[in-house]
Amino acid sequence: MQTRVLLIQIGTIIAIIVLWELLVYWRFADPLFLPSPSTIISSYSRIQNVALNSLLETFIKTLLAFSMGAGLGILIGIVIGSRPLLHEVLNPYVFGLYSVPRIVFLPLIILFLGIGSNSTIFYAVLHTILPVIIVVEGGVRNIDRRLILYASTLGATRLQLYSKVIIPAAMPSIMAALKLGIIFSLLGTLIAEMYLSLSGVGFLLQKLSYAFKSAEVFALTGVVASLAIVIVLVLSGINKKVVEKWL
Amino acid sequence: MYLKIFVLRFSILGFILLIWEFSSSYLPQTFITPPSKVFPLLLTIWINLDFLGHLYVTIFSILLAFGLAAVSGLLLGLALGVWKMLRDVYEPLLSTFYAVPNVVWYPLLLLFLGLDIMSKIAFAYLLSFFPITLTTISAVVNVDKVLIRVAQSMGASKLTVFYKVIIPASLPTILSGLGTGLALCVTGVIVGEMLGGIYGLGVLIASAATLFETAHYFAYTIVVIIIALVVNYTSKVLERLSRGV
Repeated sequence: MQTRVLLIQIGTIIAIIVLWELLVYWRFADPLFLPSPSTIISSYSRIQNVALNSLLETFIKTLLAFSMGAGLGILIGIVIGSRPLLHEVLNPYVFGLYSVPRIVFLPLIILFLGIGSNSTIFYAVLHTILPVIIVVEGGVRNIDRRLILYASTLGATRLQLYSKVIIPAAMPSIMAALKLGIIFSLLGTLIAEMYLSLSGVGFLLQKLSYAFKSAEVFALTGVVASLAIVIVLVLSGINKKVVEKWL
Repeated sequence: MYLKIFVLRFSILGFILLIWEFSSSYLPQTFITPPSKVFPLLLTIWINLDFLGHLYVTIFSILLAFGLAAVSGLLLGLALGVWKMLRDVYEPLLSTFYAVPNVVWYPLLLLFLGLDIMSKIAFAYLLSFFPITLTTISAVVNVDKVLIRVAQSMGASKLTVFYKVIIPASLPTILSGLGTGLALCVTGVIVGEMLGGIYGLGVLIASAATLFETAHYFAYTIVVIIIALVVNYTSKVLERLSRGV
């Protein structure tokens, strides 16, 4: 059953690629706009060097933004989640800010921090921190109240309450927040690079697109997309292991 | 308690406005415009026909993208939710595709569809199609099996089970998926317009910021924020209503 599902999945992907190749081969689609898969693969070698450099740079920016955004977000999420008053007061702001397209703040950030990595990383932190806060806060609020009550009747101090009860109990949601956070920081970095920057994958993609190099755009998009998928799959694997061990 | 929360909430807003007002007297006007200048502008931009045209284009793109995504996402989601074989095969593919940072598709869409509104509509469609589909699938899958079994044992046909049990039982979750989808359509259209476009609020925001017309930048940004909050609030109310019934 499992292998059959896998076979059909692979078959679907291969069928799409073959159909695509044939569509271009029979000139149903203009190769100027829709290059065939074979041209895309061969065009990758032309941009390989610059693409690898840009990928590395974007990856570093993403990791920086992720570590800051996720760290702060988890901290804020735990604090807001464990204090009902703080939650009631701040919740509309957190959710409101989360529902607003954050790209509208990007010009202001660039105005203050200038064009370049600083503004990109700042924007990506902003992009990461809100979903992380929301997930962690939800996780902390859903902790069984009795656990906290028992621990405090047994004389746990506030610090022990956080380190021995709240954080361990919220661990699954913290892991989920980390997984979400890395996707959001990659997204934020790419958006900021595409909007206005001087380097990185987003910048390169936008530049290739404006230069109308469609095969190269396809190739780079494919590389970035598959890297993102690999990251997510690896994180899901780690996530599952941690959650299993924890429960 | 409620009064205290209310007061605290508004005092935060007041505090932000105060800081904004005071900091702007120490910073150059190109960096930040005080609220006392932004809000009068916010009242006067509505008589500007040019602005209304841009606003119309943005709202039209959002609604068109959402309509397309809602119809196709619901149909696909219901189909995959009902047929287990199809779901086993295609749900993992969909959720893998969904995990890709969506903005990487935008340069491709710009290439295909040009700088005009079509590329924004397609991008917003792409953003909201996946969550709508995936939420619909999980809504249908998570319908209580007992409900279906009971209806079947009372002699309901497959079609009756679908219309009378599966749809009503999964409606709240489906509506929340649609709410997420609509919010993502707003984001998609604004992001698309800001990354490259001819018409729309995003274009206005980007060009105001580039030309250092900071007061206009703030005013347009506030309009976008209002649109996003209204969308968010409406979808929350709809979802709550459907859970109540």
